Amino acid sequence: MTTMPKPNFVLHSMLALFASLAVVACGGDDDANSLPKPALSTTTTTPPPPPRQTPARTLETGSLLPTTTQNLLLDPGFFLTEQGGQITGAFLAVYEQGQGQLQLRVRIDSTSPAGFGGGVVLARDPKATDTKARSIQFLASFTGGKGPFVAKVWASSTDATGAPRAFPEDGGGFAASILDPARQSGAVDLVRDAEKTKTVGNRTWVLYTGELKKDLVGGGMMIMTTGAKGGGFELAAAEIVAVSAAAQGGLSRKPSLTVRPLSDSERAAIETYGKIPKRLEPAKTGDRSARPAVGGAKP
Amino acid sequence: MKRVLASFASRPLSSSSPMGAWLAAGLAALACTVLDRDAQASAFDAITGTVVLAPSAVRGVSFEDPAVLTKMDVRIASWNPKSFLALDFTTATPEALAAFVAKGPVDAVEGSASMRLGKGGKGLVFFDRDTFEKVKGSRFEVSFWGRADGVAPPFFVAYGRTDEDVYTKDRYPFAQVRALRTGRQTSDGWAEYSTGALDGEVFGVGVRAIGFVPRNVGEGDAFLIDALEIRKVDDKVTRANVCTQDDVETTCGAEGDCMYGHCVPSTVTWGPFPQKALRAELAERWIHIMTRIHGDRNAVAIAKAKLMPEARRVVEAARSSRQFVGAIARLVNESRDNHTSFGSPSNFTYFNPQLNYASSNGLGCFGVVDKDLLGGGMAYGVFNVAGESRLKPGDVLASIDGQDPKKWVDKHYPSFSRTLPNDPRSDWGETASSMAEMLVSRARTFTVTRCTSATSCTGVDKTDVVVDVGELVYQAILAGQSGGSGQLECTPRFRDSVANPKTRTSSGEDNVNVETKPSGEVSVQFDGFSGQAGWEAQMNDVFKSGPAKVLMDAREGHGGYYSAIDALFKIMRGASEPWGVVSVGRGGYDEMDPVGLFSSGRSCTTESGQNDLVCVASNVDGFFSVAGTADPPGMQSKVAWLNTVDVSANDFMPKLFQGRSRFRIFAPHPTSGAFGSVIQLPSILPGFQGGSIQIQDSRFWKDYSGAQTVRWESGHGVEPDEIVMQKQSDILRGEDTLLNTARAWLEAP
Repeated sequence: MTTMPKPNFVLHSMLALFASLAVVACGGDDDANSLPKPALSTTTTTPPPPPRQTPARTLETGSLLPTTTQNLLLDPGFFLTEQGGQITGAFLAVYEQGQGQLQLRVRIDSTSPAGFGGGVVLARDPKATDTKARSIQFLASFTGGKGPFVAKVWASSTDATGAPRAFPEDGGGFAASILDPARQSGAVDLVRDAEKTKTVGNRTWVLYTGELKKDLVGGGMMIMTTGAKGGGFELAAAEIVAVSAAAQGGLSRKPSLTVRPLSDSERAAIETYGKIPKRLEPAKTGDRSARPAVGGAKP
Repeated sequence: MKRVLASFASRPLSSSSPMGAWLAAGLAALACTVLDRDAQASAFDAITGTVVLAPSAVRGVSFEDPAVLTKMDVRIASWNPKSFLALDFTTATPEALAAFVAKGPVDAVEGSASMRLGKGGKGLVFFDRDTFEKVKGSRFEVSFWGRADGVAPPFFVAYGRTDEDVYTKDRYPFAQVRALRTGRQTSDGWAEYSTGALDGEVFGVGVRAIGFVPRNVGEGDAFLIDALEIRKVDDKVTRANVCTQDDVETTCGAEGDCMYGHCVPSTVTWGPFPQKALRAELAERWIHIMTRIHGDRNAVAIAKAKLMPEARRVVEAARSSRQFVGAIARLVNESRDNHTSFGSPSNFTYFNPQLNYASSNGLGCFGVVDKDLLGGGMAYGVFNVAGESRLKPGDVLASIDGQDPKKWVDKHYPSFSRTLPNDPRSDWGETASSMAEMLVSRARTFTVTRCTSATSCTGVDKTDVVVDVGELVYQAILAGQSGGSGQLECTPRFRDSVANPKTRTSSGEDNVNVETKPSGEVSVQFDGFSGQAGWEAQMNDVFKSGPAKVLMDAREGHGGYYSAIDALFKIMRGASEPWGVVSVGRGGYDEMDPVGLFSSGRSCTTESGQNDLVCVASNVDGFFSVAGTADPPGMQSKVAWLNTVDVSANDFMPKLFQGRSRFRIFAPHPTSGAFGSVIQLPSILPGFQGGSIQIQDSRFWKDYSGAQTVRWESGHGVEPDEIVMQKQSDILRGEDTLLNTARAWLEAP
């Protein structure tokens, strides 16, 4: 979280000016119909108040999407997951051991890493206790190509009732991986980035990330598993980016991951994913809106 | 226009102070112009971490004292769960309003209180007549700050003549606008929303209410609103001038749109105009999807050449939602993939900018015709009418706004359609089905040529009928008329091939309508392949005895399942005339067809290998005739296949049969040419439903090895073996030209 300094008024005003200069973009937005920009306060002769304690709340620039535009996952906000029945880029969610129908819920929590642009999926077995739960798998395919690929997902932990709790030091059974289902199949597990933890109220968001240093012909898959250790998890802002395409900053800090064989449950999840019926239908029509009809007398 | 600087200045600055003067000088030195209204908007005070309401607002609401809201005629509302779109209202007593108040520095971004809404699906609607009257002749803007605690703040501005127009049962607003996030948000989850500049009235109808009412709220979900402001912007309203699609820029201005022959503000058609940063993000996401994830090789090439540079250009150049959102939606369409759509606005009013339903709209249903009575050639003709229509069956469209109808359609249809056929030669059928809605919503005038004789069309037998459709509909709207009598659902069939066909079965599958004619011909009318076991059983029944003559009427073909085309292929085509298809996702985001693309996919086209992991991840599907297997009984049938508006599975199926013995396709033009499976996209732009894309492309050949050497088929519709159009003269006789031609071939030795 960034915070503003505690300047005196003059210094603060200068900072405001520099900040102002930084955000001004000449041209392109000076039309009457554009939504308002960050606004200059109205001029006034009221003397400035004395400096106060630095506020906890600062102004930031929001985005439309929960992740970068270059994300190879098509539904990083999990909206289609809630609806079910999707392929490629959208996460399919199933119980790892196939124990019955899974009902998922997706919330928009603007304090989460997804902000307003994406949802937070609540991955919680309704029969879970704080120490035992049916493991849930989330699986999505993505377009491959030239590597490396950097994967990220934010996770927070809840108790069996869904209330936030401290994120377990051992991960609480949560795991996230990138799968390469090619003939020489393998998987790599994402690791927790301790420097990127975010705390909002009593909810702690933990970033899992990693880099797959190989090319993927065809496609890869991202899988997340909640494990059977109890409670539940909330997941947000999943992302797979091909760094050669996106020129991501800070690439060198991403841990390179070791390839391991696919597990049986991962293979089973991929098979389930493959059984989703392929649809050969045109783009859907929108809502049927009102249209006035041509009436009146004949000419 | 004053020059001011947009910033997140921490607090008011005095122009008389040295710092203020320095700032003013700095501002004057910048050649950047933004609007006066920006200076009127609420400001974020970085010292206190709160929003300060603008004193100049016509209405500013801080929610400190909910009793104040009663002056705005606020009502508590929730969506009726048993109705499609109807609000249930209850009186907002001070006690009921007090229950919504959330207090404390975390739950308020302005002052010390906000409103927490959403619990039990409840929200607020403000019928603030005094404020709306003040802005009626001008432009105004609504802004507020919101926080999502489970659900994003929903918002609407509803125009209407009476309060009942605001989503009471069976009543929709006259026009509606939502709000978008501006990009200003706080570190603790608050964001500013705004409508941008809105006209105070549309076609003389003013704003009736603004509302915050959530849908599909989960237990415990809520949202907070604070710092609600309604500000007057300026007097630059969009006048309802007479317009056409060709002069919209000059007649209606950058911020206007042209519907019903008159200018309307494009905020009520395409929605609010997004901020530049959000515009750039939306454009870049579509560029990424269309050039790095999409599977249609032809569409990707078009997108790289056109959508990519043009989308970036309109981010900079656009001055309204029509010029930006409308332009991006058109660019997505122009990439030419019938599985691909930008998405549709959730807009149930008259001003939904997109064509969405093939109905007669009081005019009639159009189809593709050969205007044989007028010298011949492809044209749009009236198939049938209902009620008191000004048109008659057999009328041929002669001009739209003074232009050749097809030229007008080619120019403007991509702006209003939700998607376009892959193969432009296929546009005729799809645009004919949408013609009535297109004329009603987007044309100013049109002319039809009417022939009263089925044998000649000269002299008194020939008349031109001019319909001033824009003015007729505009006047109907002003008179408060809605809907219309005698609406027909339009289809590409002049006549059905079976009696009383049903489009769907009780289980929701496409119905296979079967009728055996006295001639022994088995007529089968079906609209697509959306079916599994039940559908396959119906088709099996048709061919299990190998009927001699079968007419497959697929003139309305909206696709279906991959499994269904596989099933019908096995029913109708045997290994004695081998054929098949392989559908492949792109090889990589960076390279569509890398070396090795086909190396792992061979097993994916066999029944035993279709669940291989590599098939799933690489999106490889398909099937080929299995050598040595016996031909099915259906292989013996002589089959006439009728196409017109056919896409996706209705592309695949005729492509898989074409070339088979005793099989012939009759159609006015090729099918769409969309050869791959479709996936939905999540909503990217708030207020719009998510679009969709194609993720594969396909190749057809006798076997997998041969398929690797032939072309990708997307973009190439299936050519008819015999080009047949409905003749204008046959319409006057009540005869279906395609059916007659196909049946003559079936009866021939």
